[in-house]
Amino acid sequence: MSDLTAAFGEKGVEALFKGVVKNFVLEKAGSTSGGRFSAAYDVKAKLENGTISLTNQNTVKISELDIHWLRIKLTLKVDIPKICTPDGCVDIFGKEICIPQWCIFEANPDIDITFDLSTFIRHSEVSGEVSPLVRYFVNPARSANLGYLEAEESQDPAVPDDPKANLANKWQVFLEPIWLDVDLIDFEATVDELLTDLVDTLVNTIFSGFPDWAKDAILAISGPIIDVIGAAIDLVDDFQEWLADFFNVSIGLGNILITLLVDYLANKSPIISLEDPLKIMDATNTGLIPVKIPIAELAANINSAEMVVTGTVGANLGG
Amino acid sequence: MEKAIINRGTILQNGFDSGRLTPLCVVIHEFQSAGEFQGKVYQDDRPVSNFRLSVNKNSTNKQVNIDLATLTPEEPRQSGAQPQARFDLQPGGNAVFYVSSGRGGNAVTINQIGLQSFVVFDSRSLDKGDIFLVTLLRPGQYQLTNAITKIESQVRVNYPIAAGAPLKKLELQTTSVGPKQFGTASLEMQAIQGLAVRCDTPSRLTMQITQTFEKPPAVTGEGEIAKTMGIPAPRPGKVTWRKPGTAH
Amino acid sequence: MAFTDHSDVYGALNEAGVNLLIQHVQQQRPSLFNYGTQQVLDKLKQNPQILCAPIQAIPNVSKRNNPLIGVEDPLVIPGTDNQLAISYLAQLTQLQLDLYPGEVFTLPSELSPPLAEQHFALHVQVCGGIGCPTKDFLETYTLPEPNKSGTAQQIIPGILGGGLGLPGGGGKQQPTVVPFDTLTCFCIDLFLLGHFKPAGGTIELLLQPDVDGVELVDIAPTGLENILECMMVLIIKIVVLPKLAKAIKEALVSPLKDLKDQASLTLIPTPTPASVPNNPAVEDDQVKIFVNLKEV
Repeated sequence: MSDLTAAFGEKGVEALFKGVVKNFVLEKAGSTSGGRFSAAYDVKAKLENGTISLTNQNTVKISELDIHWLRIKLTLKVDIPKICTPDGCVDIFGKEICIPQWCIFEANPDIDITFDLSTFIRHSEVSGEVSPLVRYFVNPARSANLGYLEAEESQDPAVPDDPKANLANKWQVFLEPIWLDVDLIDFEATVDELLTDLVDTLVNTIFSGFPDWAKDAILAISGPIIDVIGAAIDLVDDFQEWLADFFNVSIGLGNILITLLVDYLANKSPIISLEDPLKIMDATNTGLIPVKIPIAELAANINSAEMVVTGTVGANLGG
Repeated sequence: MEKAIINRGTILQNGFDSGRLTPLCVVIHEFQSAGEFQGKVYQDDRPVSNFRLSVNKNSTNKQVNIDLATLTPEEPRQSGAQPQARFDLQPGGNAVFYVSSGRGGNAVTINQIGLQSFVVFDSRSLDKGDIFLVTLLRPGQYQLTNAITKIESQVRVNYPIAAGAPLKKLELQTTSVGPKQFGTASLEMQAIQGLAVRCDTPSRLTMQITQTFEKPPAVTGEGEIAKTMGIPAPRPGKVTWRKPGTAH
Repeated sequence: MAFTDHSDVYGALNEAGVNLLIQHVQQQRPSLFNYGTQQVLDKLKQNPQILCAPIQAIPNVSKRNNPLIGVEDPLVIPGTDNQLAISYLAQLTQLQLDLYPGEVFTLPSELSPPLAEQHFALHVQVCGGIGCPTKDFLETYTLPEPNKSGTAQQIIPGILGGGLGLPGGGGKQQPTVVPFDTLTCFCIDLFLLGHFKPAGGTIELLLQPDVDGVELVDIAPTGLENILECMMVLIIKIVVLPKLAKAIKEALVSPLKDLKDQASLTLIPTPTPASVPNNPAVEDDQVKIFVNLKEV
């Protein structure tokens, strides 16, 4: 029979769950080449809100866990075509003169244009089902003959900046995913809005610091920049679809997020962590050692009303 | 990645001088008679290179474009003979002197070979029949002056209107400069149009902006051009992960 | 019926767990349950058999130079002008807690058995001893003359924590402690009846024990029994019970600390009787606590 019982109603489980997910961060950058052209990405996302419900199958159902994209940047390498005054011959005072072109760019460059798409991304969510999993953690940095007091007093080398991180053994309760769904990345803007943003970014990048009249004069020569760029990179008609495919398929951002979240919930971030032995009286400043009780066993189960954690107090403290 | 180099100075230019050519200026001179000529290119009134021009009936060129930028070395030439650029032209053909890139400030003189003191053309003092062509980008009020005779004219350049398509043809306004006056006392034109001035008297033509025009509120810019292609339907679909060994 | 039907969070420690917890406290903090003079402690280092009852402590106690007994001032012999004192040892051993309904031990009749609802009983074996003087000392010792000022200093030996110098005294003198070879010991059984006050408004005020009665068995005359019971109540109620209650609270609240740390929630005891009839509750051989969550 268990000596210690702790039960958390739905409110408590939700609070524990949210406390765990709030520290989850997806941060990734990279690039792809091949396909139509080269592109680089830089994304950062966190999870927010969400609701849970407890089931009689020893699981917690998660829904409406929002993915908050803090940063979703796309960098396209754009081969800027020549933008020149038209060539051709004109009649000047009865003479046919062919006027040499003047071109805006003195070389024919590639330009990296970075777009921040975080305002365009459609709201996306995570949903799923998780089940409690209890593990006994022994820090790999802890030597086999290190006593429990020495372990509590030793800094965990893996977390040097956290003074509370030590080498004590721990009972940990994780919420292990059974299944997770993540909405595909999708952009809410119309093609018009996306292209407008692309053009604005492009013009501002290329003609950074130029006055409006200069930009407009160049646009008057070149025609819509989007036609220029679109012709160069051939994506005007399906830009939105290309964007979604880039993130969902080429990078597989949804898969990356899910894989990271599975590992985070199942292995990295327990909802409950108890040091073993468990401290019940602090050490004193006169040198008296802390008083600790060994936890021989720990279990966690969920029913439709609550999560129940049970434990057994051990008889012997050990070294 | 190669950096995009934009000739900012050229784009933001607000003054032009037929005696100091920049990428937005061109001078045109007709060579009526055959002959062998030596050209000298200047930058900031300092000679920087020479070239040869042969006007002969065997030439097939009715027009020769001479790029003063390519004839302006980036570094001073070493002493000693350098291979000269050579051009040829039919009699009656036109030499078009222009600057394709860089900061400009170029001038050119042409002497007939064997008659060094005989200057057939000096872009710093255009002669009758020469044409000065300038492409105006910056909207504003300009004063067009013949620096030799001091006569003036006014040119108003309106704010550029974004084109619905790339500009196909450079449209020109024309005028002339005579001994006493310009062909028109005032001109109105659109930005990115060209202004061609025919010299009927020795001229050194300058254009200087006297008043700039800012973007009017109603001007349609690139960002406001509607390219509505319909609101796309919501894209269904999720990425799903399932713990191995668990039933679906 | 769910544990959390009337609160956000629930915690419980059963009788076996509590008694195991008390055992661990005894073995890791022996100085909480054993008190004596420096002279007793010095003798203990040479002869562990001197104790009235053996002290079981884990190796870390000696490894970390933790004392086996809490050192207190010796008892001054009245009339000696604070010049002579006697060593003593007091030990609380074999602590056992019985939670309602009582099954672990039987209460003496003076405490009105059976154990009442929401009550707990504590059985303690109290052992005590004094260091009676050797025959040589009695034959050879004479009390020194009083000090020249003619004032007498009265030193009241503290129960736990040393003596107090009363006004009129010039400062605390160190009396001669009667040398002894062994302790003259006794052990008696003590039974204590108690309950927990309703939890206060914060987690720190969750378990506040109170004593309802105490009975020392087989002490006569009654007046002496009452005196000794009075002293025992003071030690247990003021010193021992609060520390044990705090330890039990720590054990119960530890699984909940992640709520506070990770979720920025405050834990507050569920109010009684609005939500639960008793908090903490002593029933079903368990100490139960009920806690609500409040956002910071």
